[in-house]
Amino acid sequence: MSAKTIPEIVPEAIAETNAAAEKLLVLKNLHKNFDVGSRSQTVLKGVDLTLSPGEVLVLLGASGSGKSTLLNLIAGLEYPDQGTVTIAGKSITELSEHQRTLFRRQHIGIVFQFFNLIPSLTVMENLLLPLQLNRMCQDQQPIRELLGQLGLLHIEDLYPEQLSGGEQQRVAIARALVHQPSLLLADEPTGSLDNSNAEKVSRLLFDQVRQRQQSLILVTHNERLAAHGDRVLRLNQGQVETEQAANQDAGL
Amino acid sequence: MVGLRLLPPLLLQANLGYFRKHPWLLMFALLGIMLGVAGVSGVEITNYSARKNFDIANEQLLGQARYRLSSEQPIAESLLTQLREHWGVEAAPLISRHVRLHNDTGPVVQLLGIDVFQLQRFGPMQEVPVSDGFQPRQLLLEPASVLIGEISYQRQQLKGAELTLFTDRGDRPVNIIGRIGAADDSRFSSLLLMDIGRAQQLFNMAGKIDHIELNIDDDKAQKIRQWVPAGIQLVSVQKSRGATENLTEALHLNLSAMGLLAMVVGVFLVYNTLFFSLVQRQQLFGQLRNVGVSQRELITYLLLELLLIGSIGTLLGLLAGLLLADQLLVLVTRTINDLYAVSPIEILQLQPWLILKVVAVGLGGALLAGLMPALHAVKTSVRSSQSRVLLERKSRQLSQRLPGLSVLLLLLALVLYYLPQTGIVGGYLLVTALLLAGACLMPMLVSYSCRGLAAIRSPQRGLVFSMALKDTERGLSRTAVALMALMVAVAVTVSMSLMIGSFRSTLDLWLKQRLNADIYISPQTRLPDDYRSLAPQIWQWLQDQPEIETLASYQRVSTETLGRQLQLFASDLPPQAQSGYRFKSRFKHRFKSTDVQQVWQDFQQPGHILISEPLANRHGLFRGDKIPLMTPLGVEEFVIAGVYFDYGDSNGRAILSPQNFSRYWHLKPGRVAGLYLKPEADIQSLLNRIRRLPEADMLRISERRGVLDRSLEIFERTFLVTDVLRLLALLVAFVGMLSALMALQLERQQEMKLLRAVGLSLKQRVLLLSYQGLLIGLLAGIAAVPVGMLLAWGLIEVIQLRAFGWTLFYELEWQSLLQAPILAVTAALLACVYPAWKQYKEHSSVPDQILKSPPSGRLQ
Amino acid sequence: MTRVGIAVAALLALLLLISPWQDENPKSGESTLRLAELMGAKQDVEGYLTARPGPIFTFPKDHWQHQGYQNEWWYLTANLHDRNNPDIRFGVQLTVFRFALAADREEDANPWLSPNMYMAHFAITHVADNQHRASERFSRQGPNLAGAKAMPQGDQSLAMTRIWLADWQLQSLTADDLFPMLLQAADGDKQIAASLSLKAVKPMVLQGEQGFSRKNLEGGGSYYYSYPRLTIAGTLNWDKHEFEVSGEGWFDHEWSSNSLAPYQAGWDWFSLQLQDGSELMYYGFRNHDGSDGLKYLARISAEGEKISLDTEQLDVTAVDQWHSPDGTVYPSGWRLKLPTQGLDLYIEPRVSDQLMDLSVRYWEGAVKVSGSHQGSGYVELAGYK
Repeated sequence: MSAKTIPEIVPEAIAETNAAAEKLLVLKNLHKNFDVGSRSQTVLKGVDLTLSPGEVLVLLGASGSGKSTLLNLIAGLEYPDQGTVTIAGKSITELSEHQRTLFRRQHIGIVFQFFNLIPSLTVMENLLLPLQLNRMCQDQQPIRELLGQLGLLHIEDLYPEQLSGGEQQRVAIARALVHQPSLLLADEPTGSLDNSNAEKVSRLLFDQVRQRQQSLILVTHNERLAAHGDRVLRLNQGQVETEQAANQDAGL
Repeated sequence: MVGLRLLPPLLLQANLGYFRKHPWLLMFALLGIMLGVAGVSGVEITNYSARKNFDIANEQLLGQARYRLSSEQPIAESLLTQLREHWGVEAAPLISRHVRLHNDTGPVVQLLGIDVFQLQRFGPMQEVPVSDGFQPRQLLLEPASVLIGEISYQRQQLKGAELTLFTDRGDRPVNIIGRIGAADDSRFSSLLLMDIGRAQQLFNMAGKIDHIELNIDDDKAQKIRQWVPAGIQLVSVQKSRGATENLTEALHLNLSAMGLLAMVVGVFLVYNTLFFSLVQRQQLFGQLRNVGVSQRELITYLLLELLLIGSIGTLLGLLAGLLLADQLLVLVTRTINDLYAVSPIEILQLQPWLILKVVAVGLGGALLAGLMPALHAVKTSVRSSQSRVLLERKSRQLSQRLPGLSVLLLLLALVLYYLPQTGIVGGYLLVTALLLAGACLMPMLVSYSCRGLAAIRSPQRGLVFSMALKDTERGLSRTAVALMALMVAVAVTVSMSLMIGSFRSTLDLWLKQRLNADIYISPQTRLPDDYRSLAPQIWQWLQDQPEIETLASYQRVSTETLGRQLQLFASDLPPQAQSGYRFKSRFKHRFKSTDVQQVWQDFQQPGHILISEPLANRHGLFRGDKIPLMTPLGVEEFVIAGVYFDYGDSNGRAILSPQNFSRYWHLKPGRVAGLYLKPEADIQSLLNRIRRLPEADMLRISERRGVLDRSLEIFERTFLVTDVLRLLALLVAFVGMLSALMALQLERQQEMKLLRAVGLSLKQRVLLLSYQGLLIGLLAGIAAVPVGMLLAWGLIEVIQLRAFGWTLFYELEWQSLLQAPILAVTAALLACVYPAWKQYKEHSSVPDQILKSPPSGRLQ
Repeated sequence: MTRVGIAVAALLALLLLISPWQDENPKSGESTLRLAELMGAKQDVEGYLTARPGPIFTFPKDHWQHQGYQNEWWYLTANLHDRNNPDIRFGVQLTVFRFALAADREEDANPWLSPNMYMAHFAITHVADNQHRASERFSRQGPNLAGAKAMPQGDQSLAMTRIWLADWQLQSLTADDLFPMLLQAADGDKQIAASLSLKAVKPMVLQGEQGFSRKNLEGGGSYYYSYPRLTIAGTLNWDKHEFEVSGEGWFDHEWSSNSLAPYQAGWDWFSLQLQDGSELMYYGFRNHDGSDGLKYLARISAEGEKISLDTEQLDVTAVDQWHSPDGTVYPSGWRLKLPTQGLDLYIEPRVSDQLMDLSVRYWEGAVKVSGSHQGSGYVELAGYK
């Protein structure tokens, strides 16, 4: 890894200007195949995409369209067969697995549909974990405030299994925000919730992101959520189909 | 533990939380390591202690002298004077006898008569504390004065200074004038010291000594060897030390192997448990990775966890091993005593490197078992959604490769079998290869069995049963290791049972054939080194008795051949006695017998000898070969008239005819008489007449039955050691199966919730659990039978033969064979109890929890 | 005589040495400290025979060991030179000590039960090399492992006196006298050996008062006789070299049970053979308080007549010192003046380091005599700390 060795990425590095400085995220020609059983299945076939700082992108698509894979590639959880992922000017596809993890823990927050919370840790501990991993100040007061903003009071000592599904997802959002990442990735965060709960949770998510000027990529098959995005993309059979200004289509 | 500081505390807490929820997994992992380590350390400590004690006893006996003069009879002390005067060498006298404390049933101790004023040059006792007020001159000046080891004085709970010794000259009062060594100094255990002059008085042997110790170089030794009178041998102390070490080598080796087998089973268990704990935590690892825990951190953590579990398990195992060793040592020591008639010391000896070795084995085992699954779990953890699929696929690929591996292992075993020069190590490799080959076939066996059973069973009749079959087959990724562990554990116990059973029945048959005289008469001896013969008038008297058809006579001396000690018998064997001997043919096959008639004819010829199978095997000797033998007249070559099966001494034995014996030894043959009676003879009246002989008090008169029983009893005691170890292996196997199966079942608890939601009744769910447990237990148990038989074959035909040099008759005991499936099924059923109880408990608790938060709640 | 003291000290040390399990072990020099106790009133001599004035000796029996006396020694020193080159000079010493562990003899023929312990010291001084090597042996009497008695020789019915420890020996060659005698000793490790035949040129001399040698005014004393001049020929081995040697020697035999008084610390002892054919034997005790103790000087005329001399006029002064490796300071070189006898002798060690650094430490070495008379001799210095 000598050739690729880079110094520990510090937040200032992101502010550094370079060719892609105005774009937080640049995806170029991403390809991804999966081997399932004996046959190989192409999930992504050359995805290009950019995201500006503070932009909220809604990624729509049917099941199996490659949404989650794309998100995983951006998060560095998976590795593309072809193409590059550049976040804040840093090409994460050139990083080692370890460096990618370090990058992710600092700059990216992730919310999945489920299995977000570590069952053997309390809510507070779950929220402290990203701070601990980033060796950040582990003051509990700001966390309580954050929980308050998300409408979660007096639950910090409970274990995930003691929470309702909606509460769990709100805690997951809180955890994705707590270390103030520049990019938030949400993969069907409300997919397992009933409509009213889903509405509540997604509203909170968008509010928080906008309030903090963070970028967000929200993956969903729920067309209604598209209205919240600055931009809406549709993924179909591994390719970005259309790009439209979300506000034009906004159902609101 | 540098890594600990670098790890986020919450990472530890998250995993700890997991173990808090699944304490049984932690317990099983610990138990696996503990039992494995206990087996290894117990045996190793026992072996080391027994060896060390042997060395200590030798050191007491042999001191620091480099050479020793010995003879079959005591040596005239004038020889010592001559050596000192004419050769100017450092030479010290030694009387070495075994005596008993108190009376003829008291503990055997070694009495050394030494020149107390030469201790520094010859004795091992430098700067050793001795009780207050003792002056060495007292040993010379005060009659019957002895020094006793402080350790013995305390252990034997002696009081005061007066002590009675039982010697071959009867009871002798002695006076303890001092105690030597610290209370825990085992060098002085079972030891009495006397001045040489006082020892001569005690044994009525004025002018005689047993040995002369010499501090000379090899050149001088060569010259002195030429000079010493006939009948006196100059032996290098190193060599005689080596000879005594050989005595127990084989025993220790066998014990070591059993300890190692316990460890192998233990490692399998640990692997199994750790594997489970990792598979179960895969989700957790995925979550942690998503949050940003790096692979490196996770691996570091898992390594720490492994080390911690390994350390605690090793520590516990070491403690258990010490307890085990404490028990084993008593048995081993007694065995050595029974077999070799030496006075053993029973003290646990510990050495830092020994502990280190055990710790290394324990930690190494844990790491070995846990490292692969840990790395695998971490590598696949990122994509939590896919990891399980990947895992199953990977293990399926692996199990496809297993049959091939199995064939390779079998080939290896075959190669090793045809390479006897690979020795005992090769033998154990062979057995291990066989074991692993069997284990590798397990997944395939399960797969086929499940499919086969599914095909037979009509699906609508037993929904739950077909579910169990399919689940078992599909769950092979999780269950394969458990299955292999089970099979290994059971097969090992089966093979040990078979081997020990074969050993027992071989010995039983051998003793019954060999000890076929109706009555045996020998001089009363209570001490190991008493070689007195039966008085000539008794022989004469016996010959005159009308009931007696014929007489056999035996004498036994210890001598040396090809660098090893050897028990040499001088036996006059009538045809009846001859029938107790079976001979090995020149060919390996034991059923082809040699011309027995010819063997016995040759035996009577001058310069001919019969040697036992172990001796022949050790040196690759056959009928017609020559063998050098140390005799009082020097080393003589004898022609081997025959090789007979014998199990009495792994070092080997040999028989000379009395005529041949008398040519070289001054010792009279005929220490023991074997009486063959006429068919109609009244044995009681003969016995009564013998008992009325004036010398009867000095005779030991035994009927055949009694001798046989006593001999069998001694062998039974030898087997006690192996029995204990076998029990240990059984325990490990059982606990292993229990834990493996229980882990399997408990892992299914999540699935059970789903099945419950789907609508399976409690009874159906418990049945499903039981079916699967039974299936796995039964398959492992059944598969263990042939594998165990194969292993037993390896143990008997390869290891026993290579280690001890004797051929055992392979006997299949159906009890041992049946034991395997019973054991496996019992463990399997027991393993279902707790999970089933958990099901029952859930059944009676809040019913709708499962519906509350699907699906995230389901897996938490 | 004084060397009985050494015998006692040595054997005490020997006992301490061979009782390795004893804690109260002697540090260096402590053996001489014990000497005073041993030879003084504290020593338990009960049961032992004691030396008293007016002995009557019978020979050869009195050459042998004296059962019942606590200690005894046979002592031979010699000044030798290479037969072909008189400038290559040697000193030789062989001493056999006996020490009884108990006075009473058990009525058991078992030789191991004899309470006699033997120690022997053997030393050669190589003057030209300025070196001195000493060696020692121990043995209990046992079955003829060591002893001093008449031993049958080969197939002859004659029994001759033999004083020996293992293969070191002084062997008489006639039945009724001590001399001629054969001396044999060797130490392979130290690479020294001697094989010498000795003849008495002058008759035996009974030292002190007809053989009773007084040690102090409290009645302590020993039986003591000497052969003051022996001619010697034979071979010496030093390293790989063998030397044909000849020269002159001195033999002492002394036995006793009662020894030094508590105030006596040590002694200096001289045996000097002068070229005029006479010999001098001198000893002087030193007391613990630093004062000089009893002195004795005897001159044996060329004709063999012994004259005990008045020590009033005698002046023996140390003129030099030698520092031993352990820091002990020994006198090294003396001036002996006795005007009444016309004696004014310079006595100097042929090698300054002739320390017997064995279980018992003392200085014993060959000396050269010059001044009013020329000659050679041996000096023994005991009890220095």
